[in-house]
Amino acid sequence: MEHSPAPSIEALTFFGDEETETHFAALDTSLRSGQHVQQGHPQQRLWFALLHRQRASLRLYYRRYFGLELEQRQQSGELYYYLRPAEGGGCKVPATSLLKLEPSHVIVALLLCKIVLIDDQEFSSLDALFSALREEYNPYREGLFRQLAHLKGNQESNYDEDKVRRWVKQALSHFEKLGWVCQLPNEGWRVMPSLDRIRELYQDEIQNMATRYNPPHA
Amino acid sequence: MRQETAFFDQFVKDYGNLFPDKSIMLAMMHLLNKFADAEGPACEFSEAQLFEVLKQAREDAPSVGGGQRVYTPREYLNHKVHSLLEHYLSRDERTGLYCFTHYAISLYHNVRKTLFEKVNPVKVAGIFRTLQADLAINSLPHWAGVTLPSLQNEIYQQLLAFDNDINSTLKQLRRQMNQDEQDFLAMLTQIRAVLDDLRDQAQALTDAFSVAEDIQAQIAAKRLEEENDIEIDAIMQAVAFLRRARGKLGAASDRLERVRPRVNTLFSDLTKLRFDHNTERFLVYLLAAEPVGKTVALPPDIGLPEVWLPEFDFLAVPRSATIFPLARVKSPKPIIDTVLQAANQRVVQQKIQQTNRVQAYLQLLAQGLQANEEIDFTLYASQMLATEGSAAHSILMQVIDRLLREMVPRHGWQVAVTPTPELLQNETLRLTLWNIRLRRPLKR
Repeated sequence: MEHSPAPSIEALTFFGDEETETHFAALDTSLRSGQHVQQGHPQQRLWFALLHRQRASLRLYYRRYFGLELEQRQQSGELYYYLRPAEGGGCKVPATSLLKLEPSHVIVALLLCKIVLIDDQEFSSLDALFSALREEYNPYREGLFRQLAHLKGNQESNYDEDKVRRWVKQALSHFEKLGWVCQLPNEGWRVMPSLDRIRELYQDEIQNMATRYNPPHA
Repeated sequence: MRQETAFFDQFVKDYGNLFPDKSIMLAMMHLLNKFADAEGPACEFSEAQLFEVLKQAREDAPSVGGGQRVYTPREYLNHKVHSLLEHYLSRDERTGLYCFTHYAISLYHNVRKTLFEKVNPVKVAGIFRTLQADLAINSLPHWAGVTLPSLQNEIYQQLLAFDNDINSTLKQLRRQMNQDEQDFLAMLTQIRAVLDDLRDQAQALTDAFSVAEDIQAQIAAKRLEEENDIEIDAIMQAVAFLRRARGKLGAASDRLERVRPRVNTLFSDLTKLRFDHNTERFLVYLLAAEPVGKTVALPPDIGLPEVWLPEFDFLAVPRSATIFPLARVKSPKPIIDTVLQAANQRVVQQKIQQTNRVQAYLQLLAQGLQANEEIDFTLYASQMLATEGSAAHSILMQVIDRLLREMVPRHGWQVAVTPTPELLQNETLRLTLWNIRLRRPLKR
């Protein structure tokens, strides 16, 4: 008895999808500019369906023609995708595209992870974020001010808060390019599930924390 | 004493400019807790006692903002007393003793009732049944203008109490995230039981609100019979209140439904829980690092991660300046619209007339208080409505604003506000005003 062969998925199979003509250009631009793509992002919703449906074919396409790996991750049940250069020197895009995150970005990203992804708090503006920091995350707030405004002791002024706000705003703008947050005209800032990528980048350090470090006030 | 944001926002909305800011409110709650509860609302206290309580209030709110720390302790106390004297405290010049205004006492009781009110779905169901029964007996305008306003505050207080219960449970959950695993699991079990209880309350409140839907249907049928614009406006407001209250309950229930599965998941996903816990430790570790010079620095054993972020710009579309030569464009001449100018002038004239009328009423009040020891502001408000026609509302609001901001502090009058709504109306307006009485200070 003969089995009919399963339809093979190839690098260009996704061109047969009827939505490719409409949405592929935007999807490709988004992924190849380093954005993380997810369903909850209001501007990516349209092409997320195409990406999710054709993920196998697109994975082959980016690997073969660009030397990039299409990665899929999940945070609280929500999927997100991103591209990263393939390991072993197969990458066909300039190596200068790899950028190191700045220390301030790392701190702000992890702080947002704690507030939004772990504690399920929402904030739509910097005012709301700083109000939450003041009322419920004071130990973190003090550390943030010491790191970003170089504040020593308790002599805090309005100028210090302005300085920290500038750092946070700059970090949010950077995260917006990565698709980790988005800004909506009437609703303000919204943190996306892909912000969890920062925790993946520091996975080893985080897992070893229990044995390496006991905070004075957790 | 931490104020819940939702409750605070609602009070700010209800009381407008007469609601104190957070630090003044906190100071006032301390004062009333200390004196009025123990000795009754008519109690008097000295400046030294007042300063002592204000110091305690300040210690209770050490992180209310960076700006306040520029004051010396003495300046801080003087500033607080000055702010409290605007509406909430009065001082007897003869004895130097302070006492609370009626307004402060009524506000305090209302706030306390909201803060410590327990959710009672049976009470809400009872209120709705009363509203429904009243709608069957009385006319719709009477129901919308008198019956509902007298009970809607209680409905809102119940919804706020429900919201506060959810908030405090979530805060407890957040705090427990920092506990050891064993303690955390014990606490999680308790929180799960509280959340289940809150869900039952949400269901009972939703059942109570089903009567509200019947009322809305009855209103829709009756509204067609009304022709008076003012009455229709009151009915519309009543419908809007019911819709708003239903929306608030819906939002709180939705939040509860989002959180409950999360708590259940926490039980089954201890790996995630450990990872979250370690993320918090990692963040504290990063924040504890000493900055190097003027730059932000991570601890020496923590490297910086790399992300792929290429420059990916399309530059195919040329700018217009490369296609067309630059040309100077004349700036447009301003268009003078005589009709618009005349309309603007009319508006300015009306505003000047209104300001004069406001000044005249304030003088009338001052004369009234010279002749009498105490006057009823409602009588003056009725006169405004009788003589000012459609401008009465705007004039009345300006009179109240200037009365409380300028006249009362300047002359040392005492203001007693009783939350008993009095209905005032003229040919175009219908409004309810709390009973306000003004009293001049006793002469030495």
